Amino acid sequence: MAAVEIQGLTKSYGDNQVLSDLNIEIGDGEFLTLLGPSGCGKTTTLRCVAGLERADGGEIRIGGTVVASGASRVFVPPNKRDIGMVFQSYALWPHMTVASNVAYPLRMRRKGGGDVRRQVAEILETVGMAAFAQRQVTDLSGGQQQRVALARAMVAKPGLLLFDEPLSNLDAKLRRDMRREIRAAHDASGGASIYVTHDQEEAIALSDRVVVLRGGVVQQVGTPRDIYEHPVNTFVADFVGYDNILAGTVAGTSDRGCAVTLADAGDTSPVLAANGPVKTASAGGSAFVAVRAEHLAVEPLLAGGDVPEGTLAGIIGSRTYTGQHVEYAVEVGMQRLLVRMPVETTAEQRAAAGTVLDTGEKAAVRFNPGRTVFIKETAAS
Amino acid sequence: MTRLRRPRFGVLLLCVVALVLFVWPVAMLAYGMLRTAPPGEGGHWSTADLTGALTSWDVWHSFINSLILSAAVVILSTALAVYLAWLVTRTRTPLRQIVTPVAVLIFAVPPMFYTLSWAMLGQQPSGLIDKALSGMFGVTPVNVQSWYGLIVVSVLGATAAQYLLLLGPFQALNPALEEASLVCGAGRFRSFIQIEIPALAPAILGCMILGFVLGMGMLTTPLLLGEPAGIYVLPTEIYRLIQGVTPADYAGASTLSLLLVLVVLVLVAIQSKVLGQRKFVTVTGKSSRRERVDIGAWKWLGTLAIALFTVFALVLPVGQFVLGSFESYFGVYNHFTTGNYATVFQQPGTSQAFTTTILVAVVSGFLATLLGVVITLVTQRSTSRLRRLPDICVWLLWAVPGITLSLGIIWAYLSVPGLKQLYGTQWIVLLALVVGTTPIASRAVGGSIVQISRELEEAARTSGASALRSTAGILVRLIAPSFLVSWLISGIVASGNLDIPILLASPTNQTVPLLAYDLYDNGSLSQAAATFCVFIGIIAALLVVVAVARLVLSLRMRLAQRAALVPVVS
Repeated sequence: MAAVEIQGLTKSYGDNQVLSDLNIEIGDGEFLTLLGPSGCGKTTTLRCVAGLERADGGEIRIGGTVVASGASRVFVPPNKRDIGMVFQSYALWPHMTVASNVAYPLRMRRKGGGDVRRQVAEILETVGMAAFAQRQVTDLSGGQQQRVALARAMVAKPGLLLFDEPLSNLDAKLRRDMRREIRAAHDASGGASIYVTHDQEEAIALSDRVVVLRGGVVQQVGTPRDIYEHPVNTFVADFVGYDNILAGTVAGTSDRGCAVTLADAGDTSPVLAANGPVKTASAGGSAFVAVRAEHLAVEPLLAGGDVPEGTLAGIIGSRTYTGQHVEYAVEVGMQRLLVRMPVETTAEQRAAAGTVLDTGEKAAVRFNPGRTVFIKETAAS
Repeated sequence: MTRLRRPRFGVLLLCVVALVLFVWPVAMLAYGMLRTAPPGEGGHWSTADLTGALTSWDVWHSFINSLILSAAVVILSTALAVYLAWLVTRTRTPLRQIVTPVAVLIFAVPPMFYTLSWAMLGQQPSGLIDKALSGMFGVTPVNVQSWYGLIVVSVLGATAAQYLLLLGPFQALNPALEEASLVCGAGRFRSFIQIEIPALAPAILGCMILGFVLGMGMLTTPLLLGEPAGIYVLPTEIYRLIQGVTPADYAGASTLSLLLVLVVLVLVAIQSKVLGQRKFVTVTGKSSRRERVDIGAWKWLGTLAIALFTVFALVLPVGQFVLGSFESYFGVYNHFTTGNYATVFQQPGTSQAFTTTILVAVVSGFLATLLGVVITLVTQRSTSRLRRLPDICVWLLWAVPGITLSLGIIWAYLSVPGLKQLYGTQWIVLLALVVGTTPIASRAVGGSIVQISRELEEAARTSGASALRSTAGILVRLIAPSFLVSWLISGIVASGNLDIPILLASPTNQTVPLLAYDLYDNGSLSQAAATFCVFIGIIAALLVVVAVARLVLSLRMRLAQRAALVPVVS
């Protein structure tokens, strides 16, 4: 039985259609992330599941029970849904201590005083805030407040945890620490979690499954690896950090993959893409190839020399040292490709790598077919 | 689906209440303008009084006087306020620390008290100033009941208000603007004139228009200082048409009131248009340390200005007041007595006035704050298309001066059969004070409600609390502190109001400001002073109680926390 089922959910604010016929299913014990840019409907979906907002139509079931249905006009208020939620602003009540904030869900469930004290102490221990039980929440730092908010969401052991961009107000290091703690909390709870974020790194590191949303429409559902390595369209590719998304025309397919002639790339040979639905490609159709900068390489190209197979000839437009990498912008015809090469740290490595390429020099950009994603799409809609 | 409709019904109800309370009285002025009889006494339709009023030289004379007075007051007080704000926020002028407390004190004192003390201070031949000058130089040049007196007293009061309004923008102005100008080679003074003043222009202009609006509606000061010298402005002319001529010319007064409201509305429209074009983009919330300028010997000029302002706007009026309240007869400086206080407490009307004032202040402050809370919540949280309407109704009231509102309320309620008995009771005074103070209460409490994140209530809902429980346990609890502050402010404002009881109260249920005005009008200045000293004493005592209560509460909380830190939750 699924923990949460969302069927045909629609929602609009005035003329603005936020969700149109959304269908998502979340399995027992699953950590599912809704990923997308602002305004994609991810927060609205979460708030509909929480009961903080009413959908215009569709049905939501939590643990098999219908909690909201447009057809039968059922609406279970949020306090009857047995959920825990962590808010973007933490939403800790400033007039209560840490302990009374955390005790609140238990008191609402009419637990006895002894039980409340024990469970509050336990959960504060879990999130490492036991020493702060009697502090005012306004005295706490952002990270500490987030821990208290997490404890409050989990203390009543709800079957479903909801997270609304809980890490967006924290700095980068704290964010990584809290990410681990949230995942640990989820694993310990045994229930399902829905997590909303616009940060692809967060989504990929945390989730069992990721749903990429855009304009209230599901773009792709899959494991973090699926989403990261096999984006199904240019939107997802762009959103999960593909640096080069290049339009072109299918030249032909073979066992090794699909050859795509890039548009505006001058007189270059086609690029071979072996990742993605290459079998469905038909010669002459328009398509895209998407490649991450670190999966490309630049090689020196001698004047008058032949362009090696599997590479495109271009000119170095700029070179940027970023510490871990050297980034090259290579002009291939009218296209501009971003290439990220590891830094050769020792003199020997530098010698082995040959020459350092400078702005204005000719270079060949090498593609790795296994890392080059074929996207069958006419244009970004 | 019924759950969706119920809040809409609530919003609709609130809209009706807001329209009845805030718009109907103004609309009824138009009705009153065209009626031949006083409110509630029948009569028939006629434009005679309307045309009579509009062709009367007295009316236009008072209109022109209003414009002159407002313009003079706004220009002088804004210039002085900008200078003081600059001294305080940008320079190392000695004494700059006292300006804000002094301004707050002046602002907190009801205009009635302030004007009354100046009326005594500058009176010929009994006031302190007159005594001092004639003693020193043998000349008596000062008479505060004149154009000069009217303007100077108004300017002193208005400067405090303007200063407090301008202080925020002056402090919040991004220092990078000035620094950029300095780096470009301009001096401090040049940067101030060419960069900072233009950047603050929207704020300054906004203050000026607000000051002009308040000046046009000002009743107390012209009534006490202008009327004895034969100077009439629109509000005092409205008052004269009702109380000063027989039979009372309600239609003419209504015509003038509408004229006043129209002028103010035009000004408000201009303000929103001007401010709409120039946004406060330069004012950021980022606080950063700002280098103070040493303006050399000029700073002593600043110190002198601050000292003079403090003496004339605070020390002298208060001193005269306290001194005057102990004089057996006002102007007699060699025989001091507590007799005035005894008289104050013995007269039957006095205790009645204090009871009435406390009752209407406490109740109207509470109701005005409650209205402010509900209206702000609806504006913030409702999804109804009508959600902004109640707020707009309240905003409209900023354009309705007190005396005009009183007249509108008379028309609005006495024209309804069965409500006529309300006239002259404390209930209609109470109702009018609720309407009159709601704009202030709504501003005082609104800001803090806006800051209460909706997520705080949603967190309670997802924690298992019902809608009622999350509202009572979280929202009400979080609003409570600012509710109490707003209640206090609104109550104090209502208690010092003269414009409303002067038309609505009867001799048997006067409020303290009205009683003091009557005593002043009858020449019993010392008794007026004594009455007001008791009144101010009560307010001061109340403020002390509130301050002590807050201190005790925060101490107890800190102690409880410290105690709780010892036994960690088992």
